[in-house]
Amino acid sequence: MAVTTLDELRFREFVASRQQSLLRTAYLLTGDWGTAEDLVQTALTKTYLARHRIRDVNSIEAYVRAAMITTSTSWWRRRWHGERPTEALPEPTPIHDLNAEYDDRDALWQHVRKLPARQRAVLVLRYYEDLSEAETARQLGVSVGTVKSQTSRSMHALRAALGRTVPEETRP
Amino acid sequence: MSIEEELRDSFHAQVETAPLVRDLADRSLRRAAKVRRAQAAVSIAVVALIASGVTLRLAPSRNGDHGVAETPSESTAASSTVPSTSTSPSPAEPTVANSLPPASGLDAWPRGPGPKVPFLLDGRLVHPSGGSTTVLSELQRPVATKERIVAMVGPGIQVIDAAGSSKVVVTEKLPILGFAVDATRLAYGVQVLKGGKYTSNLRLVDINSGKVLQRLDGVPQARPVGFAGDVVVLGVGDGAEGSSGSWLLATNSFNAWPHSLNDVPQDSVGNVALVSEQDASCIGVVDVNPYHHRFTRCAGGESPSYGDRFSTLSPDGKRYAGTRESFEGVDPGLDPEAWASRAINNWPVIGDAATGATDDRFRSVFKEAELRLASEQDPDNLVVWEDASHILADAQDRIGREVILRCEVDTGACEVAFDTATLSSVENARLTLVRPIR
Repeated sequence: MAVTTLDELRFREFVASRQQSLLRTAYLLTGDWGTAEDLVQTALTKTYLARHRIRDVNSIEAYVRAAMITTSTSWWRRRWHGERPTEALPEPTPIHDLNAEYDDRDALWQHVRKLPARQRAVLVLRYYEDLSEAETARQLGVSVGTVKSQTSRSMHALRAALGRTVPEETRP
Repeated sequence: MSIEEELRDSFHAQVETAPLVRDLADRSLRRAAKVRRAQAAVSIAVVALIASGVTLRLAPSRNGDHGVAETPSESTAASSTVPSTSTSPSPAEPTVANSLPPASGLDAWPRGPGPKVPFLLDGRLVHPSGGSTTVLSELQRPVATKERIVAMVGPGIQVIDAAGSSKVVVTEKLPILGFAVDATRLAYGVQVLKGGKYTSNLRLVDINSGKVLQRLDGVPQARPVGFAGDVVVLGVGDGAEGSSGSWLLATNSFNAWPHSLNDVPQDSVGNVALVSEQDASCIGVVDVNPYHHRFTRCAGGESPSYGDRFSTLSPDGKRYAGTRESFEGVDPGLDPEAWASRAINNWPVIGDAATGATDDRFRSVFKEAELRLASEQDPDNLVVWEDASHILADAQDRIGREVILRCEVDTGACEVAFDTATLSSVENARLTLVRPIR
């Protein structure tokens, strides 16, 4: 039988047990641990404020994750958009050499970070959370067709960025 | 290995070293309590107004519109005992009926002239004339005049002119924390590590020649946000916590503003600056010089039903604009039908810089036309001021057609200022509106 109320004690228990997992997903959505922490906290706040509307306390994690995705795709953070200070000082480079700034070995991740928030969310849900297309569509509140087209567009962009103009599946 | 498998590996590798964070429950509960207090304050204010004979319309109208000039938080709706007037529009109802399109879509909308400022579309710079030039799409924090865009590119700041050619005006070999521009000047801050502590050096530069006009070193980490006369408004902080301050050019001095730690400036014009809490639950307006915090408007930013994201002031400093997003349909049971209702879930919203009252007339415009703001873009730039009376909004219809709408703030009347379909060679066009330099 479902528990019907989310009181403070249950909320604290939930946060204690799940915040690290939520934080990891938030990082993949935002690309920054500090922002990820803010995102989790914001989603938790919204969830607690909406606790009277949560029919089943067992669905709280789904609610928090939905709030994280909704918030991350709409969140504005002008303060530090693209302006995060780094200790390693990049040399001024011409425009066409912008990619040379990246010193992270994971080129694929760097390209994922440049995708629009919604496309990145689709990839995180599909390939990190291992949700099906239908589950991803429900989580994002879009159609399955949109999930497919967003995935396809993202993959095309990633392949192009990595210099793989031919889809993997069609390679010999 | 397929790219899908590489993605899985990459995602898991990225989160392998997740930092341990302190318990987030306390902070979330504190923030929730703060929101509830703010919502309660709004309710009390509404009751007081009702008691004094002021007529307010709190219940949703036939369009689900909230006519009250305050945040439509869940608690205000729930606590309202005012009889609904939902079947007839109030006198304050925007007069937009004639400008609304039929259900067939954007084709029937009136067409107006192109935006007065250039904007970015898939790496192109589209000019008010309708012509376009190709520029790099990786521009950070772009701002525009009629002739040019100023933006950060990599470690420098560049000016891209109408012909598409770029000129580097800042090449300092230090991380740039942020910059602000007006018609002739550019102010920026760089990060300096000295004695184990981060500070900033501020620079004022002639935007045409690149010549440094003024400098101030050793201030707390500062990010110029805008000019207010001879004051450079600053965001101050390390990225996790923020506050506000100013660089007084006349005395070449730094001043910290004495309001709450998390208030950060978003924009400035004339003698006022728009500030908001880091989590956007409160927003206020500051008279820059002398410092005076005129009002703080709370609730809504963290409402489970609505969230406001105000980010920019009108050129006359009298209003501010942003995005109101509905969280309705974020159903705990993930009911597909409820989720579907989120298809149209955001629209422009206007605030009054003198009182903090909000004008939500564009909700009905967007709702009836089945439009939404293109939320995949940088949400800061979805709504910008074209002039003191008009906003430009990057809008999408249900089939993904994307246009720039020009909307008159006082009447709610909208027209299409630019349709991406007019550039036939662009596939899956993505617009980026840029903030006009004032």
